Formats: sequence, structure tokens, C-alpha cells
Amino acid sequence: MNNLSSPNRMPPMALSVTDLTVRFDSDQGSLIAVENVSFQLRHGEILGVVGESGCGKTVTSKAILRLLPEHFSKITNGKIQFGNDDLVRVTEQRMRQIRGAEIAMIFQDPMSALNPVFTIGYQITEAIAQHRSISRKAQQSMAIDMLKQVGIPSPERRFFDYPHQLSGGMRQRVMIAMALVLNPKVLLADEPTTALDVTLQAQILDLMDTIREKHKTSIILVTHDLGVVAEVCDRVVVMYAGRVVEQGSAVDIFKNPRHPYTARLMESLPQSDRHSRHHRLPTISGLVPDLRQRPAGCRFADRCLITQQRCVQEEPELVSEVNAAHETHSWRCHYPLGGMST
Amino acid sequence: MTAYVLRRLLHGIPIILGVTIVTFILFHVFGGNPIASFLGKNATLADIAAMEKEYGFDKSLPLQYLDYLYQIIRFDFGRSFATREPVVDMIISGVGPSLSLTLPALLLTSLISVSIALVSAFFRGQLVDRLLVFLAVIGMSVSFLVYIVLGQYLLAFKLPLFQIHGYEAGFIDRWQYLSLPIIVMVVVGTGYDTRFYRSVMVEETTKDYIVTAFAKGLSRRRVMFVHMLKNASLPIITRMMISVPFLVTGSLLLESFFGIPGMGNMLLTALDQADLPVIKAYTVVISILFVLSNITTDVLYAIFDPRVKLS
Repeated sequence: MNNLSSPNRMPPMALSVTDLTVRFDSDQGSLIAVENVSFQLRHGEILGVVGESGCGKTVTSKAILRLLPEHFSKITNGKIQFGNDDLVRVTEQRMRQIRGAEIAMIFQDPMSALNPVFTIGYQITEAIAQHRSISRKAQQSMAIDMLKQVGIPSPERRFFDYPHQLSGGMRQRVMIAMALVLNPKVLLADEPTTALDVTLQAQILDLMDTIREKHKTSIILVTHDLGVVAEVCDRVVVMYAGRVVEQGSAVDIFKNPRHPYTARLMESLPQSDRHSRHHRLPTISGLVPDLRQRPAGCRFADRCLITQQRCVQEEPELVSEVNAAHETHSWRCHYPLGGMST
Repeated sequence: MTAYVLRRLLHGIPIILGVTIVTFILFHVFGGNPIASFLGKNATLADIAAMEKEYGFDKSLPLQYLDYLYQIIRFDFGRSFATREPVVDMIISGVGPSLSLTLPALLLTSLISVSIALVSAFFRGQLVDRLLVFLAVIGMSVSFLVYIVLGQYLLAFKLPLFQIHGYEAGFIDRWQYLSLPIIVMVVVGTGYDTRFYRSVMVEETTKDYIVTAFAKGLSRRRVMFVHMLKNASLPIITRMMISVPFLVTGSLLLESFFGIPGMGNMLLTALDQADLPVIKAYTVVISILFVLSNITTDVLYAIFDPRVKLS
């Protein structure tokens, strides 16, 4: 579809999410898990989506591939532009062509995300066979080649292993190999390092960075770990209680956070130079609000340290500013930190 | 694998010994004089003494127990009190009719319930699913006896499709007697099993690997029939293997209602007549079958689930 030799003719964004709204229905009533979420993924960038558990990050990423359980969730509004397709509206048949081949996904816990009763070779070649009509031999060599690329030692032997025979880090590499074997344009990585220990986290992040360089894959990295974001992301979307509360380049978000929530997230990040061992790490007290009873005002109002009357009554609109590097930085706060409020 | 099976077989010996000790104590120590209870109140002391001598019940209890063990080792359980036939012959003649009833019933029940459960899980939450669950609950809620009586009245009497009662040993002839009890067994079993298999499958579909499979672009059919079903096969096997010992022991209720001369009927008659040799043999046979089917189940686990290692 896109002529890779002339980047000018490519659509401006790898993926563009506009006003995405997802509703969950249960016996206890329904809730809006994600409301009017908009963000754009540029070609070849790593976009971090951060927030606490329950803020809607995973729902957003699963909604992109329409992987949410269909009998109790529904995308009620919005548009997800991918190439010429609006993923909210394309047929299931077209969606299946996109899943795995054009947009792939990796998950938090590679042990449970891999099927325990099939070999990893089977699971990878199955993805290839679904989208390409090539011989079994060709599928196999593609899979082994990909395993080698993600750093699996002796992939010819590992091909016949079951997931439980691999270590945690190896399993996540297998997940990545499975996701990337068809060279998708977009990779959705949902907490890919959360279940791994710190040294493995760094290796997996390096791997994702290498992949982005080599294959020009655009990556959405969903995580609650700002350390991970700082390490690899170009731009960041901060979500809170189903809303985007701040969005901008990684530099802007880290150096000049405008939303109090973002700032407090930064403070709760351990930093060796700032906090000695004797200081308690600052935390954000309270919980993400119950989405069944949405507050009228700002969703962060009850946990924010600088809440005013207006914050409780009226939900702030998204405000944008363009910085010197022509990067847009936007936030949803009546009394933003740093610069002057509008 | 062979070493594992051999070791498990050896482990089975103390289990079976335990069963024989309990059975022996129950009938010989707590149960009163077995010969006297068999012969009834009109028997003379001389009659009892003669029969005790004939069956070796005049020996001391430890010796009698050793006799019992020796019988088991030779697979010769002595003679029945009532028919004076060798118990082994009675078992052999009972196993055929029982298996002819229970084996087709188990296979059909499993096939039908796994299929219905698959359809139900596939359309989870939709009308088809709700309807099938509703039918399954009705199927399992109605008593066995209602199915038997209704079946005999409607299908065998009003519409003479099947025989109401009786049995013929011929390989073809037996089915006109067995069809109706098989149908009853399948109807009742399908209700229970469908609900069980459906919940196993629905549970599997909430696992993360299902989302991964969808994320690869696989069809719903492939996700359910390949990814989910292979994982659900372990509970399915367990459920089926639990029924295996009962295949041989037959169905007490159905065999007696339909007059099928199987193991179930044999046990009922033996209990009724206090026919101790038959009861003891039956108990041992069941315990041996349980041990064997447990070993088979574990071997099947290892075949279906790569995480299971037999060691």
C-alpha cells in the first residue's frame, strides 16, 4: 500500500487514535473504561502510554486490535486510523488480516500468553501460515531466523521447545519473535517488561529499540514504569482514570510536567541522586476513582495536592502548547504546573 | 515411561491390599456369620457347619484372610453361595452385557457433551449458549427413573422401537434390548457433562494465550478448536477416565430395570442374597480397575500436556 521508497506518500501517522471511548457492561452496571482518548503514533517512534493500573492503558491497546472481550465491552465512539482503514469500523475479516501481520501485540506475562501445550515453533509458524501462503519449510526457516534475531541461542533446537522449557526472558523474546516475524508496521507492547527482573528488562528494552531501528517498526509501549519510558520512549501519553491527562515529547514530560499527576508520578520514581536510602519514596495516596461513579470535575481532584473549587466542579479541557522544537505538549488541568495557566 | 508404569503398578498393591483388609474385616468380623446370614433363619446348625467347612470358613480368621488373598492372586474367587458357580465365570458372563451397555453410553455421552459444550462456549453469552445450558440443566434435573419409565412406555410400548425388558447374548440381537438404556444413560449423562465441559472451556477462553492467538489473526474457530480445546482436553480426559472403572461394574439401576444380566445386576442379586464370595470379588475387581485407570489417566496426561513429566 505504502511505497516505502518515498516516505512523502506515506500517511502522516503510523496510527492515529481519535476520541476512542470504550464501555464495559457488567451485572453491576456499566462503566466507561476509556473516554475520548486521542493520540498519534508517528512512523518509527516509540510512544509510551503510562499510568497506574486501571487507568485504561491496556484497554486502549487491546481496543486498537479489537481484542477486548466482545460480550461485555464495546467501542462506543472514536476512530482508529491505520493506513486507509478505520479499525473501529473495518470488517472482522479485514481486522484478522491486520492482526499479527500489520499490527502485532506482545503481552505482560509471556508464560500465560504463550499456549503451554504447543511448541514455540508451532506457535510462531502458525502466525506465519495465517498470513502467508508459503511452504512449511519456508515458514520454519523464517521462524528460526526471527528467533535468532531476538537473541535466542541455538534457535533450531529451541524451535521444538515448549514454553515451560524456557526462562522468563527467553519466553518474552519468543513473544517478540512471534509478534515481529511478519514485520508488522506497528507493535503494541503491553507491559512487556513488567514480569521480568531488572537485567532482563534492560535487555528486552534494548531489543525493542534495535527492532525499531532495524525494521522501522512503530511501537506503542504501555507501561506503568516511568523508568522504562525514560529509557526508550520518544513521546509519552499519560493516562488517568480512562482519560489522557498529559501528552508530549519525553523531554517535555520529564523536564516540564504540567499535570500534577504526571509530576507526582515522576516523584514516585526512585532516583539514586535525589533520594538517599533514609528517605521514603513519595507515593500518590488514594486510589484511581471508581469509574462507575465518575466525578464531575477533574478525575485527579481527590488525590491532587493543589485542588481548587473549580477542579471538583468542572472537568478541564485539553490545552496544547507548541515548544521550540515544534513538539506539541498538551495537558488537561485548570491549574497546570510550570508555565502560566490559560 | 515403562519404569513409571511398573512402579505405579507396585504402588497399587498396598492399595488393593488395604481394600481387601477393610472388606474382609467388615464382612467377617463385624458382619456376623456370613454363612448363617446366607442360609437364613430356617437353617440348622448342621447345615451351617457343613457349609462353613465347604467354604473354609471354619478356619481361623487370619487363615481365611490368607485364603482370600490366595484367591485374588489366582483370580479365582471361589464359588457363589447362591448358584454354586465359580464367581469368575459369573464375572466373565456379566462383563460382556455391562460393557455393551456402558461403553457405547460413555463414548456417546462424551462425544455429544463435548460437541455441545464447544458450541456453547463458542457462542458464549448468546442465545444459542443460553438455550443449550437451559436444556442441559433440564436434562440433568429430571430423575433417571422418569427417563426409564417414559422411555419404556413411549419408545418401547407405544412405539415399539425397542424391547421393554430382557437380553439376548447374540452380538446383533443384544442391541434391541440395549438401545433404550443406552439412550437413557446418554440423556442423563449429557446434561451433567455438557455443563462441566462448558465451564472448563469457558474458563480456558479467559486465559491470556487465547488473546495471543486472536492477536495473531487466527479465526475464532481455530482459536477455539485448536488452542482452547487442546488445553481443555486434560479435564475432559480426567472426567472420562473417572467413569472407566464403572464401565465394567455396569449400571445397577439400568441393568435391573431393563433386565440386563450384567455386573450391576449380579451385584444387586448378590447383596440381596448375602452372597459373600461375589461381593468380595466385586470389591476387589473395582479396586484393581481404579488403580489401573488412575495409572492410565496419568499416562494420558503426559501425552496431552508437555508440562507433565512421568518420573
